[in-house]
Amino acid sequence: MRPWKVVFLVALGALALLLAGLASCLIPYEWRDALALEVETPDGLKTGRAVVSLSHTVETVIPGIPGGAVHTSLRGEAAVVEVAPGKYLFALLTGREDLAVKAFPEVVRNRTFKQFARAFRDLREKRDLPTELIPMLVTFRDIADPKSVERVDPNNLAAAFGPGVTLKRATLEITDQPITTGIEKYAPSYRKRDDWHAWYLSLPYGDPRKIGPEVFRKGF
Amino acid sequence: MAMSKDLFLALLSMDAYNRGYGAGLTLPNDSPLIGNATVYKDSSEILRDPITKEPLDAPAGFYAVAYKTTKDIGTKETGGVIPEGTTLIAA
Repeated sequence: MRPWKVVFLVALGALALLLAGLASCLIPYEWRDALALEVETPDGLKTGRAVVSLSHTVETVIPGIPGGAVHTSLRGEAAVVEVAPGKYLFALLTGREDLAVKAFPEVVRNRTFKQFARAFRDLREKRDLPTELIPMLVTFRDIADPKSVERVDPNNLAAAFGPGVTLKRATLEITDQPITTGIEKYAPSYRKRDDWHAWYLSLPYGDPRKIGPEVFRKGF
Repeated sequence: MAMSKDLFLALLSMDAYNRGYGAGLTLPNDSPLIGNATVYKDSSEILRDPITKEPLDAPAGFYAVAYKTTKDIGTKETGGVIPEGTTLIAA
């Protein structure tokens, strides 16, 4: 083979590797999951459900060689249940990025990231969530005031909503349904609430009331 | 065994890497304690859009956390002492 042909083939191979690397960086792996809550109340069963999209971009250093980083971005909203008129239960977006991975461990086990990301993309299954996997639950004493936030114990909804109110079931479903929107109709508005930020900063680090608008709606 | 201040600072920098948004590890109850320091404030709390109140650090790819020491860290023999009540910032 002539030398210029060898150089050409090596250059072509390098270009193919570069393009493969770029493609793996730029094409995200995406799946959607739906968190649903069922709340038993004296007035009957109340439900809420929210579909979010999880998009993962893999940054590979050298194509074909293990290593690199995965960047996850979530697009969606918190799940909300109107337990009683004007009284809402929110399942926040905190920790929502890796909820599917925890709820479906067998999909992840013994697989590389790309393998289980493809498996999630093709999976259509619903599963009950154990209490420890239920995202942080909150309610507001006054829905117009974000400072009135209260954490809700999934094992004791009655403490926040009164006797006869219990969390019957929480599920996570891998789906391809549209992303749920419309939380602004239920969640308090944080816009222009300077009193809220001053109050928020006054709370110690780790205080469960330290939540902002980003745990209700993200990625839009 | 007394821990050197340099080792403790290295631990805090690793803690900062795994705290706040996009944390790789979740500590029980998101504990603010790490050895003889406690988390004081982080950039997600302080840097907020004045109108929407959305955090400004994550979109910029920035994160910083401030710790306050609850005891003296290190000894003279192991390279020096960080006194109790010192604020340390990792970004």
